[in-house]
Amino acid sequence: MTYAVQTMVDAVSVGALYAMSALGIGLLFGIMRLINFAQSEFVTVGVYTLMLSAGLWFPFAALLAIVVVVLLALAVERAAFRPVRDADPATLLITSFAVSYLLQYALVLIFGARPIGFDLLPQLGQPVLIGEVRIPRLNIVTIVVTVVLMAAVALFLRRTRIGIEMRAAAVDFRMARLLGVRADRVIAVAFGLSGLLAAVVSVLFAAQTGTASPAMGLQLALVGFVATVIGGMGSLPGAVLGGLAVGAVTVLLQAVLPPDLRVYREAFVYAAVIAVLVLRPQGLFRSAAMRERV
Amino acid sequence: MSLLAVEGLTVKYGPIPALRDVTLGMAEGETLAVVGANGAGKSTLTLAIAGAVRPFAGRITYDGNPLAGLLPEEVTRRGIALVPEGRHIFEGLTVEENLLLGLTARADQASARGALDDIYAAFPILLERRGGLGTRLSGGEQQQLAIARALLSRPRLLILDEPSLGLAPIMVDRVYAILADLRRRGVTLLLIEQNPGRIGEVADRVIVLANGTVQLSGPAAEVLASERLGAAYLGETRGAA
Ligand SMILES: Nc1ncnc2c1ncn2[C@@H]1O[C@H](COP(=O)(O)OP(=O)(O)OP(=O)(O)O)[C@@H](O)[C@H]1O
Ligand SMILES: [Mg+2]
Repeated sequence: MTYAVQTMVDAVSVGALYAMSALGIGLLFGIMRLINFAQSEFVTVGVYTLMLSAGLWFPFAALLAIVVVVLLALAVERAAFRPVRDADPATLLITSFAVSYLLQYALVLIFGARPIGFDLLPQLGQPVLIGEVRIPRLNIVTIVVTVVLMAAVALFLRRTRIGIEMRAAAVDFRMARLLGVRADRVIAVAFGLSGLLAAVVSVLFAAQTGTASPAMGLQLALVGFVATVIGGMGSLPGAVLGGLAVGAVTVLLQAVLPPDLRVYREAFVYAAVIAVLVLRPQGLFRSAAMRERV
Repeated sequence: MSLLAVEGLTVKYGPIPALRDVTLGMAEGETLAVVGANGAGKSTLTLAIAGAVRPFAGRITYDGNPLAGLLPEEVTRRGIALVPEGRHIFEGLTVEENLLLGLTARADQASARGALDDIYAAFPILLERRGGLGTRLSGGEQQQLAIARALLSRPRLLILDEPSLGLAPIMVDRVYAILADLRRRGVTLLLIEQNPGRIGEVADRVIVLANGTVQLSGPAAEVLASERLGAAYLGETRGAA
């Protein structure tokens, strides 16, 4: 029983990280039809920033990571994606690979390819005892932070004018522009927001792994992409639920698979994804078929 | 002086021209109807004026200024609103959120709330359904929402692409009553329809488009009564009524 509860908490907290990654990717996909693989480097750069500021007062270091990653996201939008904005999705995808590659190898050049260990808030590793159940503090923090951030993003998208403009742009960009929604503005805000999400993920991820390595964000971006596919391309709640689902399934498989099958955990996850795509191509959480973009 | 002047407009999708050397003008306060069969290039004309497709050749001048190179969001701010074919109500957004987006292009945001109240007074069904999803409305209600949303930018030129398409006759009546009212209030209207059917009720002038070129144009009464209307519609004629 205690094992089951611990596993559940674990599953939810891994799912929470994936959900934030998926939301960052889903935001950009919705508006631009861009699958931004550089989202993984947004996270990685955040981790390196935290590594460099290790020893500083933690809230300050976290804020610094957020500022750096948001600025990076805005700069990437301006320099790399704005010139190809109207190009076809394949061009956008290739651009995002190029940006991802460039950032990753810049990190290798500066810091080397080896993982660098550092300690971000060691007290987060201590477990909390709730009755019989030992739950790492970090898991609780991850879940709470995710819930708060998701609620804040949801409020932003529902209650503010720019939020409504972003939702409109995500379902029908041309119509939104015909009504006066400024493309430059919604796209910049979307990049800023996905940078913010990546930065928060980087803080939680750094606390969890305690290392910085150039390719560490890749897994998150891949899962984030998979989650947006499962959730139904273009649906933000779908992306979040998709992220939670992938995270939860990964952890649960780890727990229930016999040890010699655990190495194939990812293969099972991706098999499940393919099954979803075959059986429900519109995504698990999407009722209406995706609108054709005109 | 004309409010809108389109001169020698050619638009291509790839190598194929959808519009060829189209010239037309609209005076302030006038209602111009453009009719033509499937694929005649009517929607392309509306999108080119609204800045959503780039002309291959020709000029579009609005209120004395060329629109060349302006983004759609800038064209809207100049006072041109397009209600596109198919209405394009935003999926997942409420009726009110759809309407709020119509306010985006307004210069003075201070009057926005009052404008929304005026729209609700003119379109009671939208007030009644304002918290519900826009895409849950019936076709006729969605068309009203699309028109109301466009009006919130307070356009001087309103372009409507096939506003009666797929609507029940009673809803077509409602849409045409709205258009007649707008016309009375001095809004310049560019009305696109496939069939000449009801445009006589509101149009001052009519242009017949076929294969991307102007086949026939003139005062509404003359064009609609012209014996060449049928041939023009099929693209077998050229010139004035
Ligand atoms: N995005 C596009 N890409 C390629 N060709 C297009 C595109 N949009 C329109 N066309 C072509 O351009 C021509 C004119 O199309 P347009 O939509 O302007 O016609 P229309 O008069 O509005 O027709 P309908 O009455 O069916 O709405 C057609 O041959 C159409 O197939
Ligand atoms: Mg059309």
